[in-house]
Amino acid sequence: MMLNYVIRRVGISLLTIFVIITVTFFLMYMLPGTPFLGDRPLPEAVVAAANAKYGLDKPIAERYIIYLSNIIHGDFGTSTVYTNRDVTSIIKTAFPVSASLGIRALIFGVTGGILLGIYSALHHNKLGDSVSTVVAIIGVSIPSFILGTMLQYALGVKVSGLFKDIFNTDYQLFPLARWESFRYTLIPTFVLGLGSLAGVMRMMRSSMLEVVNQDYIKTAKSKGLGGTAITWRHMARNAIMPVYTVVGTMTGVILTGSFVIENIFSIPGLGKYFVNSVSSRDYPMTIGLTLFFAIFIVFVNMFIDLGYGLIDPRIRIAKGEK
Amino acid sequence: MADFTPIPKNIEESNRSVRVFVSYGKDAWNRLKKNKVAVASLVFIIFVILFGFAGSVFFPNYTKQNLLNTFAPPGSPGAPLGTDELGRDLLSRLVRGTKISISIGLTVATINIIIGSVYGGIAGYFGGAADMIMMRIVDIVISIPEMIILILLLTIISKGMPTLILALCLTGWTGTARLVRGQVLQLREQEYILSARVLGAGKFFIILRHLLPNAIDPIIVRFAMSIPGVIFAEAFLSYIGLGVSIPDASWGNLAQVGSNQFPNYLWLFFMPATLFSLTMLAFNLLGDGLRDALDPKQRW
Repeated sequence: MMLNYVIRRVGISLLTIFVIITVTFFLMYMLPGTPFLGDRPLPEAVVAAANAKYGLDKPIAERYIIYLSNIIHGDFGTSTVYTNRDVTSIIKTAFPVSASLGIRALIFGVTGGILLGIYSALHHNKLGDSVSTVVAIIGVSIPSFILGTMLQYALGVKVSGLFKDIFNTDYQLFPLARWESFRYTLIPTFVLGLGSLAGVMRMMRSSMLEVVNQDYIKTAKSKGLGGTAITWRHMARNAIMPVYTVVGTMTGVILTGSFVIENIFSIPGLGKYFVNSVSSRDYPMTIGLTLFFAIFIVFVNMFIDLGYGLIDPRIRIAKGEK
Repeated sequence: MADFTPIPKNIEESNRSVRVFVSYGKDAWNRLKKNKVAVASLVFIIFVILFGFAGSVFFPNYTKQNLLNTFAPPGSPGAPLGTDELGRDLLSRLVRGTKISISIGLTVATINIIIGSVYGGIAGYFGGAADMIMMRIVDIVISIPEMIILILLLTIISKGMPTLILALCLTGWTGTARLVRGQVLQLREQEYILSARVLGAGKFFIILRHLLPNAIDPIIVRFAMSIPGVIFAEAFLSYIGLGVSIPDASWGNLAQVGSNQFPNYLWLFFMPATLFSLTMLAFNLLGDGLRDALDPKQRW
């Protein structure tokens, strides 16, 4: 039964990817003009040669098959701005940086949000709860590009400047840009993860508040368990499932958030290449990277859904009964 | 004894209903009114809308350049909030940006709510194979981050407002569709739906006249909560150069222009950024208040 579920879930993911690739291909096909339409008209022979070189003289069905098989083989096209660099090689160099930033932000957002949510629920309607709820609402209200620019100025310029003055050194406490050591990662991680932190916090708080009044918590209390054991083993473990289901969405939010954060802090990740490709009208690059991001996210969501079945025994059993 | 009023002798008087009939809107407003934060947010949002729409009558020259008066600080003659790098008046641009951002937010949120409600209503009421296929389509659209679809469409089709609104509508309805379908699945088994069917009401009549009005609470909450998301998406796209493009203005491209001049000309960044963040905050707080007032079960 579990196997059935896995097969269905994998099937839906593959179908989604197929739909994305197909829609992109036909949208591109419907574009007016050709890639070789420059300021000066090229001789017909040159255009024909170029078309032949890139396979544009073939019928649409054949081009579609070639496009599909290229993507299956990991070839996402060639950049028109960076000469002789194909999208795949750029992904290979820049994706690890983005992944490092994204994973840090995800860990910061999810663990921070869970802890703050538990704290809030345990102090329901007290000062600590109000403060963290307000922080969460502010966290979802300030766009990351605004917060990023402000923190870069406040911490990177002002606080670091003060630090230099006081200790009379050249040591930059919070570097303004680039991606080298741990210090460089602090502000970008915070800014990128804050939105997720706020979302997870609100969700964890509400699901904790539901769990707190359950009968099994009363049972746990009456059999004399300590507060820590009840909080972690009985409340948090039951309340955490809704949070787990949104980790996929969070990954998507962090991925798209990184487009802007990497630009603000000059981090050489995929997001920076992506935004540059948009502004320099490097269409093959934009579309290649978009496809890569979409496929990546579909797979992340798939693994999260499969993991959900493995983690929560209730789901596993319910699926088994069907 | 003063606490009690004796029942009048006269029977008709005593049968008079004591509870006054309260309409749906009035009831919701009464509950929302108790939440001071939500009311303050509502007032602020109305103020921002007025700023954008009435302001555009008084400050229409948002594209007028004056290269002799670039980077004028706030308080300069003729430019109360200063000017940008081409000498355009920041106040006029802020008014225009507010108008554009708010219009996009309201338009797209409205279209999304209508499409999502009808789609979810049909899927939920018809059920069976139609439901299966319709919800798999939703699954597929929802599994890809909204921003990626938006960027793809804006890159491939063309930049500009019509594409922007179309793209935002193509991605935003799925959440509402799921929500409404869930509601309809619960409501369709109710007796009043059965009696409507017995009386010979058509399927679409039942969906539009009976099912959707009864699911209106979560739909309204969803509407209020989705506006900031749409404005956010527009700002994000404008920031990376795919949304509203200069010389037109939106909160996103104003903040982007401001951040290019940061930190030398702070006001160019802080004015749009503050207005934008405060409005987002107000929409979120109002959404929370509406959820508490209309949909007590969904309280976070």
